[in-house]
Amino acid sequence: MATIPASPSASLPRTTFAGRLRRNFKGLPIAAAVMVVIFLVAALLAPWIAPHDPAEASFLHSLTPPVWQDEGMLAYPLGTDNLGRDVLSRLIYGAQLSLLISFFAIAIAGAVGIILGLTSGYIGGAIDALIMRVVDAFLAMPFILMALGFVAALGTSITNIIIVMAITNWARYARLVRGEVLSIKHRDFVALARVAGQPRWRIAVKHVLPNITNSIIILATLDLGRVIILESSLSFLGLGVQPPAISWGLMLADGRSYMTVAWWITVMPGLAILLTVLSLNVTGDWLRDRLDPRQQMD
Amino acid sequence: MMRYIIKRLGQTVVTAIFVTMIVFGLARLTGDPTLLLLPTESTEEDRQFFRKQLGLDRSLPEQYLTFMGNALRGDLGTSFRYREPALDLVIDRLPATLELAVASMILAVLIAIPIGVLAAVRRGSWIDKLARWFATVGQSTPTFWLGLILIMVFAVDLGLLPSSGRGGLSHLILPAVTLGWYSAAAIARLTRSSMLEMMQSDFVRFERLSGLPEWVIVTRHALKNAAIPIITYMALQFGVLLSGAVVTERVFAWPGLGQMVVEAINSRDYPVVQAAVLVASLLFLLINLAVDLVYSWLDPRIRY
Amino acid sequence: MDGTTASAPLLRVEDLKTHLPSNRGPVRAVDGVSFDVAPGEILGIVGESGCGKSTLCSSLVRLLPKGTQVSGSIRFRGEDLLAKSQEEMRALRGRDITMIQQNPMTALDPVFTVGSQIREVLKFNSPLGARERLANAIQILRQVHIPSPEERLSNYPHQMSGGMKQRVLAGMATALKPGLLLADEPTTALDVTIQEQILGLLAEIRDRLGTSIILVTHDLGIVRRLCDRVVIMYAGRIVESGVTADIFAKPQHPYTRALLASIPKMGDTRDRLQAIEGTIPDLRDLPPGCSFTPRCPHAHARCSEAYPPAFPVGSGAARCWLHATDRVPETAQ
Repeated sequence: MATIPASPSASLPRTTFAGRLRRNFKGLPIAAAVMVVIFLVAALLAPWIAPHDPAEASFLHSLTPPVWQDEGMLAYPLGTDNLGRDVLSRLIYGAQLSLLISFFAIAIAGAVGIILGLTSGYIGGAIDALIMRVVDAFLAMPFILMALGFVAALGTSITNIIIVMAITNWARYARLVRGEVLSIKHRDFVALARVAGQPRWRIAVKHVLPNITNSIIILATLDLGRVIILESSLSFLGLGVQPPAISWGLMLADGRSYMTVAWWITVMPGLAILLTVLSLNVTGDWLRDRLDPRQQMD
Repeated sequence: MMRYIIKRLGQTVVTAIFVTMIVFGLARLTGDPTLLLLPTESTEEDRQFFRKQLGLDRSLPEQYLTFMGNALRGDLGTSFRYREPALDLVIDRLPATLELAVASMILAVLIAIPIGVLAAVRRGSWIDKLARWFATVGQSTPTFWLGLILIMVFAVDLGLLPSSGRGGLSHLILPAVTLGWYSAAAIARLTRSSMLEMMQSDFVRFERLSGLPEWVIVTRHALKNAAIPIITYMALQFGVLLSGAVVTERVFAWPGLGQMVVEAINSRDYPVVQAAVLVASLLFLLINLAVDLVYSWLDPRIRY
Repeated sequence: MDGTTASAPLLRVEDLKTHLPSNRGPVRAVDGVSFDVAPGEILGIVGESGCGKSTLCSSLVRLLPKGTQVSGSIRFRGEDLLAKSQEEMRALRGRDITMIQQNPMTALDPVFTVGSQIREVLKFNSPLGARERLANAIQILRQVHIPSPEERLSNYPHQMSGGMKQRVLAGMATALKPGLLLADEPTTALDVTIQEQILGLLAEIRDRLGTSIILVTHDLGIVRRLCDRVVIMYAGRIVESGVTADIFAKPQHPYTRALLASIPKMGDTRDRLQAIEGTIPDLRDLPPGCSFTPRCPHAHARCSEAYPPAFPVGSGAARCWLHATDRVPETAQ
């Protein structure tokens, strides 16, 4: 057999900054990432980006179609609704509210879930059993029904909606964290810390927590989409965000009556939800593949 | 196996008790029902009297026990609006929702499992890519929006199917597709990954070494092994379906439990809301218990 | 050619190369392997983890991952297996060429009974009817010395021990009297006491059925006990071959010698085990010369230039420049 020359090893440069960037963001789904950025930018910079005041009504221009149809106007790229308000601007402000609600809801749900999950997993025993049965109870309740129940009880202010979203979601974090804690609990570095005399809560926070942040980040990213849909559903039913606040779900509910004459009022907000949630899910999947090979889809 | 059954039964009972506590908490959170039951001119005295009647002046644990006692006898309060037992109203509307949920699940499974299996067996092919795309997009689509779009296209533009109400098969199609869409995507994803895992397993390799035809390996062995997690997952999806049914019923004016809950909230008919939440949750728990028991019978490792 | 046999061999492998696909270039898992197996012979294939012996087995039955490149020839009863379609190979597998591996705990489908799995193999590999298959299944269990075979048929795999399962697997693999049985580390995952039973079973299979066995292992003790001839593999190639007794008495290749020296012996008074310095090379990136060179105590200039061909020594052959017929070996042992 002819001798094969040793091939120069084609390894990624490990020490240059560009090399590290390339490694960390390998396979990043570009379209999804761009969409997420657009969503964040729209949400954070709404007042400066929106071409119109979203509440500004104009009977003259009501029910204008999107710019690419006849009778569309450049001033209103995605058309206007029945009150002549610019759909694009309302979408942008809707993004702001969606981000606000989902971010805080997940922050609260995450915090509560992590604390309870850590406690449950680390301490074990009767407390663990108790907390887990409560978690099961919350997970047994169909989330929209549960959300409706709490909205009925608490009312529909933005704060209450955030609380309701948090209540319906904390259980998943608790269960995830508990599972992770259980798998880490018996590892060597935890045993070492205990031998060194560290109190349990400190071990939990200092040693266990950093090891489970990856899973939490993945869950949170995927959860953002879920909460956005949940909030839109509630608003669509009229039991979430109330006017004059702007939510994509509300826009859809408004547009429903004009479905036959103005398809864009219904389609646009739904597309916004779909694209945002899709990009968050794709990003979450990518994160999962990168950060946690155990949980890979295949 | 007996031990497993008893353990699961015990867990379900405890979880159910916690569910009742949550619902009870909800009930108390809704505030003072006397404000709604009595006409506005009533005095504080009248209200105090009613509160005593309803047992609202007793301590919380006592109230909870009364609540539980009543519940076990089938009394979940009386609808403020209709003046009928809340439980009866809920049971009345339940079949419609179940019809929708079951139809959606059947549709979802009929679509999802073949797609998932094909995607796993023909890994990397176009059907695999299609399946993965479907799984991701399907789980990102808002149910109510899908329903509206379907109505716009099929009912309004094409005039093929009715857009609302419950009736024969033609009334069921659009709502079932709307509600089943998410579950189909989720089940397809799980089927694919479950089958992929099975196709990599040692026993599949040995079966190939033993000269078994590929189709026998896939349908008899890999699929049967993969079925176990899939069936468990389907039970979980039922909870998602119950949730999604609320908005789907709203969009299609389907006379089920979800519609009733929304109307009840709008008219402050809290006993109905609580009864609906309780019944739906317990139903979900029961279904999961049943599936777990079926699963333990399917998997011989647990049975023996 | 390494390791030839006199009469018509059951299996003749010539210059087999199997390159597995990977992210960073093809892995040359099997890189030019040639050997024969005679009918009724037990051939041992010995080597460290990663030397290519398992890939070699997979190549013989042609169950390799997508994208693998195979070249050379594998002649089984005169026919080249590499020229056959997958459907033709499937007909051979389970009937004429069978294989058992080191995973008895997971090789059986957990949701079907043992009996149904045996009968299924019989169904797809023979024209037997249902009743005959049942009778055969019982007979198979009896032949591998499993007590109360009728009851065992309705057991599920998890109800059997590892050793019993491996016997069932061996029974399934020999039910149809195959010409060749590949045994890839069949006893590695088992207790030492059970190992002996399985090895005895393999010997019995050869004696009773005349089946040739290729026994892949890293355990030289097993080789000594069971194998007629041995082939030593290193980094995808055969470095030495020969009759078992000769290999143990007079190993010719430095690698073989090092392997034998590393076995701890009774009465050994050293307090450290003797290991071989260095590690196996990256199979993606093999040097042009003999791949053992960096670890060989006798390496010299010629070793890094080209891979040595097989020089006949004794009953077999060795691929080492020390035995080059054009110069006197430096250290004759």
